Amino acid sequence: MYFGFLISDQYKVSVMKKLESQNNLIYFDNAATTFPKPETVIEAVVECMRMYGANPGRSGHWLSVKASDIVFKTRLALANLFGVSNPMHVVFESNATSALNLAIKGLLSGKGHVMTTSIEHNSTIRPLHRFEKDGVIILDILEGDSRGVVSVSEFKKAKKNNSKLVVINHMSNVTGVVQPIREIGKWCRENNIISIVDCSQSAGVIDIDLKKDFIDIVAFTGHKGLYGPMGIGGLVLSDSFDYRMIKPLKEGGTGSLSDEINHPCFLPDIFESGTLNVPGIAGLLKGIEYVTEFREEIETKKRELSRYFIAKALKKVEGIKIYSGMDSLGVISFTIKGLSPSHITNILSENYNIMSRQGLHCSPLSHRKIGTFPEGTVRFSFGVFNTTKEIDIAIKCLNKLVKEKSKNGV
Amino acid sequence: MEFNHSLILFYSSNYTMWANNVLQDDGIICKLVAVPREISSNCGHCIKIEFALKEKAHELLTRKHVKIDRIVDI
Ligand SMILES: Cc1ncc(COP(=O)(O)O)c(C=O)c1O
Repeated sequence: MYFGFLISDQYKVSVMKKLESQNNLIYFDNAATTFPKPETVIEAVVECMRMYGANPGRSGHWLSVKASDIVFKTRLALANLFGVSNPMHVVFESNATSALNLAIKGLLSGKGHVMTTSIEHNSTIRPLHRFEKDGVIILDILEGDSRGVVSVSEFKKAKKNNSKLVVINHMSNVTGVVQPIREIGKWCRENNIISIVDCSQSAGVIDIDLKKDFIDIVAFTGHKGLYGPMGIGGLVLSDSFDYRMIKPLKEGGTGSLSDEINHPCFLPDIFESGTLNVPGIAGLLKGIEYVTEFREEIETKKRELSRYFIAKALKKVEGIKIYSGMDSLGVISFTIKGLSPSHITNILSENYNIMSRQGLHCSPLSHRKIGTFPEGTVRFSFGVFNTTKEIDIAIKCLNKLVKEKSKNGV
Repeated sequence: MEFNHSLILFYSSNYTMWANNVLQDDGIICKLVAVPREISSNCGHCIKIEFALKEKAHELLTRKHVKIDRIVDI
């Protein structure tokens, strides 16, 4: 079976050595944040802090120029990644949550109708719900099919005269299910409705092209599938999107127009007050280069690992119920009859050094959708450094858990 | 009056860096220098090029939609 070992070969040696020194740690929590990171990412963060840790765009000295240059190069890499030609349409924030807050809160100044889906993360649903509670918007959460996948016909049915915004999570962080953003984006464009896509889970795994997908705005986070450090994320606005529709949530120092007390009104400065996370940005650039180089291998590997786990677990683990499809790209939710998700993840962590995540994964809506609210599920999420051998070990451990349960009558 | 160089000023360092990359990619020799205080109150840098390259640089940056604040000949 092909597992894209090419991905690991270059990086495997040092990464594996490190993990071995941590008692064969198995990390299956890549949807929370990818770990380990490619060495190139780590080196770039350290190099930045060690060699050119100056403030970008503020001072005239060459060290500051070097910092500004890395910021620009990362902007350009993100613009290329998301199919945007103007690098100034890339706005840095600290993560997807702050980016989504900027897009949603910045856009929703007047009354209107907003549509979203039942697989959203709290970073989308909480700000939207706040506006709904405050009587600013009418919010429709479209149910979709049994997996939460929405269709254009649903949007057509829900649309009102004052529909102004659609927010979609591209890939579920609970089940891995993927939304058809191109069809929805196209419909939104035809109907003059702004579209925001949360690509926290999909960026680096599935191609997203704002032009071809007819999407106005994507919110990304750097530390998941893009393999960058935590604390960096942002928005990418399509070339045709009028950024002036978004009101900045913060104002302050930008290093530009310093003689004025009026905040700059041009991109990206209008949204980027305060010193940027340059080490994070430098690391993100290497992460983007990494996922761009291994784009196809990453997708193949995540798909194959998911299939391998699902097929084997269904065969070997008694009482397992899996909520993700065979098409999942690395995000698998499951429950085991008679064992609580938190018990499973605790034992996996404490006794077997396997890191996974239990509960609701910041997405209560998704769990309501798949019928696992309020207990939640266990989530295994695979990254490029995981192997089938690790899956074999994890399945053995799950089996032991099941056997101990019957023995002890838990 | 004869000029030797031109300073290309931008509203923000984000554009300065963009311009620097665009010019260098096209083989136009340029240098980033601190913005002289008497010219602008902006913190940061501007691009210094030979006066003879001014028109070429201007045309290229305009074509690439890199917004320029102004050009000062020195
Ligand atoms: C679908 C989705 N959206 C948004 C986020 C928020 O990302 P961050 O915590 O980096 O802001 C996550 C993270 O779990 C996510 O899975």
